Amino acid sequence: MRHSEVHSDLGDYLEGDLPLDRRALVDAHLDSCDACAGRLHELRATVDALRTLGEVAPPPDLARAVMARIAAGEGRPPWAVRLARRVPAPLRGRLVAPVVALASAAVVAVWLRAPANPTIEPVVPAPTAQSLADAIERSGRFGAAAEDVDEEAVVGPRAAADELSRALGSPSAWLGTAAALEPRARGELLAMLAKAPGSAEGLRSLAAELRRLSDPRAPAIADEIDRLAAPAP
Amino acid sequence: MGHEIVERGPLQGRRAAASPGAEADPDLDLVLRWQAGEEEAFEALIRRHERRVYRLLLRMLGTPEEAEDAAQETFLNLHRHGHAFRRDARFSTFVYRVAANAALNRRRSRGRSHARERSLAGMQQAGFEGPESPQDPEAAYAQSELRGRVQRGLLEIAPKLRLPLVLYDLEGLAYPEIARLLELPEGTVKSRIHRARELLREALVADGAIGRSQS
Ligand SMILES: [Zn+2]
Repeated sequence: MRHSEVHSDLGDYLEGDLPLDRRALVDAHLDSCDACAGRLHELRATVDALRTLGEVAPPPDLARAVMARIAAGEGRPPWAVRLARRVPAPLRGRLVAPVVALASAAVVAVWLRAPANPTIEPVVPAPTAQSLADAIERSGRFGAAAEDVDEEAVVGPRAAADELSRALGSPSAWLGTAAALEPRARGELLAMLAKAPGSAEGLRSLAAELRRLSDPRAPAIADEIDRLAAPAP
Repeated sequence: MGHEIVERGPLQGRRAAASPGAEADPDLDLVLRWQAGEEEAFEALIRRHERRVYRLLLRMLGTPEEAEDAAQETFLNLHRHGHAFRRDARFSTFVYRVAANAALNRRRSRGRSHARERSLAGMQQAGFEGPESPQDPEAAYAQSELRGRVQRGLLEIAPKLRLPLVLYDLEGLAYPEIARLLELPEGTVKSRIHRARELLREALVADGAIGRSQS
């Protein structure tokens, strides 16, 4: 075995991840090669040194500080709250959660999305979900956070897309959320969607899918969507 | 000579590489209560996770001030986005993901150079106290000196390599969980950890923090 081969095996060797026959080869080499045995020693010392960093205690008032900021309104996507507040009080308890979930999912998607990898997929219906994310981003409220994300910071775009897909989900889930909203709030949400460039086609196909549902609420909402998605005169 | 397998991390046992949802999520009850509108449940979630979040952020950012700011951001973001949490991953994985984003975004938004990170880390050396500090003052000094060098060495490693290293060696996560968290193939996670360890080894040897092998 060559020294360089042994070197590249040492990481797995240390973790016990080498197949046994390979491990035996490395062992044999280490027994006869001081340089490689030394390298292993250094690597092991590195891991030991790393682990001397040990335990640290968080600041004692961390939870209280966060809860105070939440109480001051920092912990919530602002427009989701705005929408939720327009839901009539008797319905609020039942309806706020899906609205906030939808808003949060879209924000997560925007927030995690990397400019290098702008396609959010797989989303049903894809253009609409993408448009929602774009619209929120364009509203400027979360754009700064999205721009902050660089390639190295790509942590979980697929998970974010999944969240979004779940929140918007099928046309019937869409309909459920849309129908639950008070008309003015729904108008605002749809207008926000319609303003996003390239969203018209996605909205029209969403409307077409809604019409195929047997739900009696579907036609009116499909009409509403179609009006917004109509090409400008 | 015995080339034994290195012991698992001192902080916590590496968790079994369970598939998501394969075992009960210990946070689920609190998460559901919070999602149903009980803010006290969120505070309880903070207290349950603050130690790991702060520890991860301290290792990633290098100073207690930065770590505390980023920890607050982490929990605020969690509060903003956590309503979208479903059950396809453990809540703790979700928390780590949000914390990792806070660390990476913060580093970028501050545009801080590595040199500055290093000098800050140097100033903060004394802050790195382990629970098992030796009684002997000289040994204690050597120990804290070593910690400072390790932390500085860590900050020199590119964040995308540093993050999996910290998650593996300091947070004690298993490869599959890190892979899920970072949405990378397990093989990539492994090779990044090995590369990061190799870079740290070079830095510590160059720094004299660990002896060149006495073979
Ligand atoms: Zn050799």
